[in-house]
Amino acid sequence: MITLTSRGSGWGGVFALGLILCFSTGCALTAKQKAAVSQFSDSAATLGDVTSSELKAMRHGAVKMTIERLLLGGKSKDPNLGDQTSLDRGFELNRVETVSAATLALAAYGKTLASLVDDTQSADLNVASHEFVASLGNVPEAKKQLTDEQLEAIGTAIQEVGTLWVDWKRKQAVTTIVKASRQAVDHLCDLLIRDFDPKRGWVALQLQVIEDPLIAEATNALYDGRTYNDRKIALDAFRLAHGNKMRRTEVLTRVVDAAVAMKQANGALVRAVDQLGWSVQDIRSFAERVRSLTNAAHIIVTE
Amino acid sequence: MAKSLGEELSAALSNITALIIKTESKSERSQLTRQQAKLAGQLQVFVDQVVDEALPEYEEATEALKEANTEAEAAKRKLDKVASSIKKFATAIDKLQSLAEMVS
Repeated sequence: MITLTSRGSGWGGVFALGLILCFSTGCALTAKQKAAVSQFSDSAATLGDVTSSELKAMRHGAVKMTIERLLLGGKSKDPNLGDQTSLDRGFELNRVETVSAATLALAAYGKTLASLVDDTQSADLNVASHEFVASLGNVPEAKKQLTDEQLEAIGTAIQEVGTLWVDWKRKQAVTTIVKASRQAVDHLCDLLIRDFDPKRGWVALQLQVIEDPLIAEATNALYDGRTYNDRKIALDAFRLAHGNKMRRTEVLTRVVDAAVAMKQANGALVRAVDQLGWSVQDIRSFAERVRSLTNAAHIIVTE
Repeated sequence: MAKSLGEELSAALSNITALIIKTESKSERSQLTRQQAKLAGQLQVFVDQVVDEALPEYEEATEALKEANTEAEAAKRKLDKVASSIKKFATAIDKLQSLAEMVS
């Protein structure tokens, strides 16, 4: 803690005012609150990014599977299915772009919230307070009345008040943003839970519409195949369908699990910033689900 | 709980695909493959309808999250401004000192 003589009492007053202001309002986020916001933000950013890249991989897979089905069986037997003029049927650019924009907005929100909690201001405040003291030291009147120690104390006071001010504003900002965003985050979680459901969601059904006809044509090609090359072509198609099926069953399940956990964690985060009896368990559970999704996405790489 | 049309079509599609895999008769497989294509086509129409309704909801969600992000970015900029404000005070003192020297 700094000490000031009577000549520096003006600065001491400012510092004291800062302290009163701080302690009367609960100065800063606690370490536990910071950790909670940070873990939630990182997980939200990862969920958004991974879901977006998985959607792009699904589009890529849809095009490859449709091409393979056309190669094996010729033109589509039903006009509603993808053909040579609509290879990306079901995962058209507009669909992928719209859903991906939402998950990327979630990722951006997570990243900005994380950067808001990270203390990147301390070093800047240190430099700024030194510059201030150096400037003050150049004023002859100030130099006459203040000793070097007093100037140094003023610099420390500015830095500490600045830090308290920043921490106070940080807490205000995080609390406001987390509470104001709760509904938007919850709503996106609900959309992901509904649409990425591996049994009922449209993403899974769309993948099945593309996979199953390919499996049928690959089966026909395997039964009819007479040579190693015939069978190899059929099995390459099976492998392609299998890789995409893994995405449909494993990745979609994990996206839904993560979205369910995120909704829980979002509620816990609001309670955390309000200091209303909260547990870090929901936020940890969300982080674990997102890790599981990331791992699955890394393992399931279709060729 | 009753299955939705999507679930019914999905289950039927899975069953017919399983049959195609098991059937050794080429003519039966051809017939099943044609039926499978019809079912897949019906499921595609169902999915198209669902997606048409879902996309505007994603657009709304994107807007809401973008607003949240803009607020968070503005708050971050304000925090970063504290140090630069102190630096501006330092610059002002330097300028005032230069001015005082010129006047005296």
